[in-house]
Amino acid sequence: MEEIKINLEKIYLVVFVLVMMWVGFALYDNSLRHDYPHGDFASDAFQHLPKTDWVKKEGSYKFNPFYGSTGYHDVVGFYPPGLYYVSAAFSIASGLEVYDVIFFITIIITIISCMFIYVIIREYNKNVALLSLPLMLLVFIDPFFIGIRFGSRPFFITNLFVIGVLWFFSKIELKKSWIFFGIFWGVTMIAHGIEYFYIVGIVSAFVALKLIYRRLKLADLKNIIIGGVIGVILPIYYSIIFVLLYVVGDIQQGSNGGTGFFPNGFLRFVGVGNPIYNNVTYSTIFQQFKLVSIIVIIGMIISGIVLAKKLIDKKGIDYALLFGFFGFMMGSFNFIGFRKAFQSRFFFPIFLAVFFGIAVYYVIILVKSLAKIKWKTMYSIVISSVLLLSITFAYYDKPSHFSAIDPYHWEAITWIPDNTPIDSKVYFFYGDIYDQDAILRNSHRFHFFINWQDQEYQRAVQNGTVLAYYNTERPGDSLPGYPYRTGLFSFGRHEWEYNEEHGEMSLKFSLMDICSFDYYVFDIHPDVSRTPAFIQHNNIVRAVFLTNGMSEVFNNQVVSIVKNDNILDCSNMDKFIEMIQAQQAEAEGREAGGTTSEGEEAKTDEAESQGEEGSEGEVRTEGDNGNGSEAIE
Amino acid sequence: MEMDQKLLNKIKNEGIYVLILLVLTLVLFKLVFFKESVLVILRTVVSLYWLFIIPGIAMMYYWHDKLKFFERMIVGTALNIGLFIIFSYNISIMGLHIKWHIWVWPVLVLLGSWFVIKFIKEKD
Repeated sequence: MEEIKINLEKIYLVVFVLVMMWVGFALYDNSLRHDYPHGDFASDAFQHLPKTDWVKKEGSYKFNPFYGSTGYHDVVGFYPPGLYYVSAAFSIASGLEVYDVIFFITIIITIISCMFIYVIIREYNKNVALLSLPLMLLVFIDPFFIGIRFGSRPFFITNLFVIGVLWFFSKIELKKSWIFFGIFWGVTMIAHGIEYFYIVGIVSAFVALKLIYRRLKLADLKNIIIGGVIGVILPIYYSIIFVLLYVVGDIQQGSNGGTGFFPNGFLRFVGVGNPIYNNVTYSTIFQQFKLVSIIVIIGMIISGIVLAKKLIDKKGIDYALLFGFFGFMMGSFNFIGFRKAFQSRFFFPIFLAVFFGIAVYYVIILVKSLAKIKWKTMYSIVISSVLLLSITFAYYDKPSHFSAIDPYHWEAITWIPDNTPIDSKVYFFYGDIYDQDAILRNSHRFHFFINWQDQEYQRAVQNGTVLAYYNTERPGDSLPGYPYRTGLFSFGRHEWEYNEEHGEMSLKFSLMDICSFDYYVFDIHPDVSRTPAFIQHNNIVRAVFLTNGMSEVFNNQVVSIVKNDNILDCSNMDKFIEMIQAQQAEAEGREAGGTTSEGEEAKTDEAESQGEEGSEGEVRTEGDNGNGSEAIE
Repeated sequence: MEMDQKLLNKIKNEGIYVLILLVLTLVLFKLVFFKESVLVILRTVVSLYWLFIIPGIAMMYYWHDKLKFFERMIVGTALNIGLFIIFSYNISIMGLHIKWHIWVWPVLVLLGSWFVIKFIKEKD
């Protein structure tokens, strides 16, 4: 009978993992390989791809890719790179593309985290562990899933190691357990950084509790100290970077906000007003999962009473329950100034699963005592399965689309690294998705993006004119100001120095000669844009370029890439427009007369290749409003 | 010192568990990624085991008498991923390209684990 129980438990775990994978990988549309990234819905998600590609190709993250550092080649690798190394290595081993691996690895590691928490809870009570599993499924359902979809992936993989530290507390008496603490704590610095500091708080709370219980042994202290030393030494190279750039840098930036990883000296309730973090406020979570939330709250109350009772009776610590409160604490650190604490709430379905399990378990105990039945593990498995299915049917929806990017834009962007010289400067004209500007870094080139919010630009769109100089953005990983080493413990900041010399924000935005780039990327199909007027403007500029010596090198009917074969003098942009208008008039005249000219052939070819009727070469003159007034709302 | 016969048998039995788990993982992957080719799934799953799971199980043998297989597998996988990140980052900064890490790391861990259980664990 004992053997059957064990097998049932393991069978149920397999079923649970299958359900988790099914829901977690819904965005993968039942394939491992795709033509374009699946599961990426925001800039933060896309920013990890080029950095991982960089690690895979260059071999290390010693430097940040120049195409993410607005052209600088000496910017130190500053972002916590744990995810990049795991993903790059796995991409090499499995043969899968980097963009297929990053999301995949995040889901797999999250599932491993679920199993890890299960192991911890099972130590406390097998039935509670089984009953905790259903809640964990919510980690792959919005709003919690937004964390992964929108790019908080380093955070998700770091939690595996946070759980490792919590597990270490429960096994502190194991021989050489300091190994666990040293490694699990140390790696959180390289994986995401901020949790390294959270753990200091958690360790302090643990030591304090043990002191209150009078159960703090010398051996425990020895394990914590030795593990602590290892945890400091192992990531030391990256710690210097993180502490100086994010922590000290944030303090230097003061009320300007800095990177947001570290409090800036006073209590901040920030996060409200941030659309991503708004999704994980306590009230939103409660409203969206009312019944489930009530069960969790009941579980927290029960757990609090159980822990307090044991504290008073000095009967030991129930680590599984304690860890639930630690997890809740981490999601509340915003109230002491850690802005990024809201991210921890994406992991609540896993951290707080024990409360769900214990609440259901206590109902079972009540029923058991009233009905006087002998409880078997199998019954917990059945109840857990029912809850798992209920949660799946109640909250899971098959996704309607798989990514923020479409295959056409991805094809265009990834054409660039394979077909242009590495020192090329690439200019992106307006496209709806380019606001998620990390997408552009996947071009692996020094890139620029038109500042479509600039009033001069909007006026040009409205009037149908082409400018010689456009207000242009230099997108990049600019949070710590493009730092470069000046010594082992010192960094310069390209952005801060540039802005000091040229004016605030001058590195990010400036007027640029539109003819000084090597390649231009145009969205050309107005039907696939929310702002057709901007696309129309793209087509005008493209027509001017093509008519004056540049050549088209890529076209997939949605995106066109034009190569600047000859460096044009753009100071006479009016002259170019006049030239095009003259050519158009000539072509129209010939058409009326029934003969064709070279210009018309070119225009017809262009129109055919776009699949629509000849609007690409059309030059709009001032006063011709058309769609312009709609676009500029 | 001769490795304990009981431990050797344990490693042998757990090796079979790992094989069973690998096959089970293949089945799970095929169920979830049913549009994907078997070869791609096979390489993906084998990579998961080679890089993360098997070295993780190996490095936990020092505590084989204190922790059960399932716990050692989960904790070991997490520990191995963490140690891999630390190793890979630091060694790449020193100049070893990451393309070598996928071979060097598992081999290092397996050899190191063998060394620990043969010479250090027995002594302890």
